[in-house]
Amino acid sequence: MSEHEIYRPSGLFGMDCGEAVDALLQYLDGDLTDAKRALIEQHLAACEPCGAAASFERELRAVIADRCHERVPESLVTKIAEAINKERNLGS
Amino acid sequence: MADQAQFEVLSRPYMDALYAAALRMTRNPSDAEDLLQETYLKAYRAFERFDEGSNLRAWLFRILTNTYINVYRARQRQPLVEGMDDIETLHLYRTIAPVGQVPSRSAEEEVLALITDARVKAALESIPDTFRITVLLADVEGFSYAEIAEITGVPVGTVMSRLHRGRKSLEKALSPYVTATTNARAEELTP
Repeated sequence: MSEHEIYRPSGLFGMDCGEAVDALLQYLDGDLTDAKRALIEQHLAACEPCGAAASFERELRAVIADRCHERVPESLVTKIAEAINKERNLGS
Repeated sequence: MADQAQFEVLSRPYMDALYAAALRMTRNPSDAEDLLQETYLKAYRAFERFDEGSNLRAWLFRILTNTYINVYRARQRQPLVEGMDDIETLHLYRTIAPVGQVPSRSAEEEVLALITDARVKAALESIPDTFRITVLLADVEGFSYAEIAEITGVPVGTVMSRLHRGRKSLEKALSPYVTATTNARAEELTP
């Protein structure tokens, strides 16, 4: 990936930009091992473009989740309660 | 073992989220209502067998997902997504920040403001349902890979691959709204 050419930390940080971008979504999902998480966190703290990408992706996910809320119509709540009640009466 | 008499009280807090997922899955309010009602009835009937120590929200989502797949999916016309493998990682972000660059805060805010409720819903509904369901469960409902694997009945590796492809498709579907602002903001990028 072209990210490799942009930022290649020398020894001190073990993850380059390409590797950080590849691992970023898994990192935001909380699914990296402790060791890999430590590496990407070092990278994100040291590399401004990757750090900015990580905060944008985090924000983007929050925005997407926030845009999907719905409220069940009261009529449906009632309909479901009635269906369960009917089921309960059949069973008793 | 759970007490069936407690079902309504315990399951009610998840009804809005399940309804939202049902709407995104079926892409049709009338089917979503039927799907939600069927899910609650099935869950009520099975509630005696629900292990009280386990995750009720995940259990309800599993019933919803299975019911959708078994009953409704066959009726749905599936959207086609082409060229998904060509979509780069961080597709939306790259429209305001080419590799190695940092966008201005205003450019970021502008992009995020373009991602409205209606656009997110339309974008989600435009992607094939195996990807859509996985993205919904992960990014909207916040389930872990392991929980999604349990809910959808596929291995964790499959969840990760569907999520990866699903997110790319979602970003691609959202990108036309964002592209228009990209050029206008290009000059604000720091070198």
